[in-house]
Amino acid sequence: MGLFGKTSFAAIMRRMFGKKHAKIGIYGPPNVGKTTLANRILRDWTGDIMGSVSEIPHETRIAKWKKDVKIENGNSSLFMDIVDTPGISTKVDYKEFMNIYGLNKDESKQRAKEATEGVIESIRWLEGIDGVLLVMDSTQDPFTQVNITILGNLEARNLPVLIAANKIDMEESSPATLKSAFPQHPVIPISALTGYNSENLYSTMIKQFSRKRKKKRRQ
Amino acid sequence: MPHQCLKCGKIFEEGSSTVLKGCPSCTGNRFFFTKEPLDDKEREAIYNQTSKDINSKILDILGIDQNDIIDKKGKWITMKPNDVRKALKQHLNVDSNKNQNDNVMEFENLKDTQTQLEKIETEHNNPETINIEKPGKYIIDIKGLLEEEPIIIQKDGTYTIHLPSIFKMLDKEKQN
Repeated sequence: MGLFGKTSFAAIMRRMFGKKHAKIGIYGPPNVGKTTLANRILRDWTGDIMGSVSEIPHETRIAKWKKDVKIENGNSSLFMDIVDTPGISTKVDYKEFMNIYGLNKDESKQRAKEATEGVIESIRWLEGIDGVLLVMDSTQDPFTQVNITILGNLEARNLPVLIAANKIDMEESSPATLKSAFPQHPVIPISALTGYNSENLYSTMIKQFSRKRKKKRRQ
Repeated sequence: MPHQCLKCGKIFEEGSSTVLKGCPSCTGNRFFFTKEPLDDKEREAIYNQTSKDINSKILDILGIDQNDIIDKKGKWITMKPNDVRKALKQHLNVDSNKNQNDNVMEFENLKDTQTQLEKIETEHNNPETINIEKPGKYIIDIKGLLEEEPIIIQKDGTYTIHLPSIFKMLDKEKQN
């Protein structure tokens, strides 16, 4: 193995067998914990982190891409490229950053502009994505325009979707509401912050996103 | 009565042969074709302009003092190459100054166009396609909308985003 590093060996294997590798986009509205979840996944499987998190919405305004993350569960494993995307919203109000989070006016306006560009960027990244980890806030009403629009478009594109019902560490969370709202997709309640139920998420990810390739071949 | 003798101001019929022969009263041979007779002042100004003979006109153009090339008897002295050179030099100077000015003007125009282009470009760099400056006053990015860029409305720093238009843009790009 001397000359071949671990990654390049894995890459060669992958190229030979051409399977179980998927580019997964982490999507969702702002401030639902997409980057926290991305960090959780990376910390668990690579020891790395994806990006900074903040309680101010639209912290991630440029998509971040981490290649070749291997997640395992018993005998099965999956190589993934993970794309952490900016939050998708229908309205970005700079006054919210000012009044609620205390940023100054210029900062807030700049953040609003970048967040808006981020929304476009997020959706652009859909091109070339094999599966979507859709993060939702289980403390919020799931029937929002953003959730429904994203989900509708993902379904139209035939992309496998896994819904992560995040923030279940919070008292007011109600993952069951999310489950009943979107019965057509697997919904995994998790806490990206504490790591609660992440094992379940990983095994479902392997199942859901490995299946994609086979499905595609049949088409 | 459209022909007027520039020298004495007498009026002649249109097509009168006097124009060819010269004015019978003053022997003037310059006529002005006009509907209304010119007043004395106007007539005089035009007369002075046209009365210069060809020699003095050339001298004017060359910018050389008359005494230098015409002797006291009114005959032309042969011009020396130096005079021609001098005259040419003067002309070229005038021309090049003029050209320089033209260039500066053009450059300024260019700069203007550039800033305008940059302005359009920066406007285009903004994510919004519709900008509400104040209620009732809109700036619409027609180029963006024609190119099926997403519909994003900006009002006072707050953005409203039409998500389906972004998905549509993605599909359009894929087709292309």
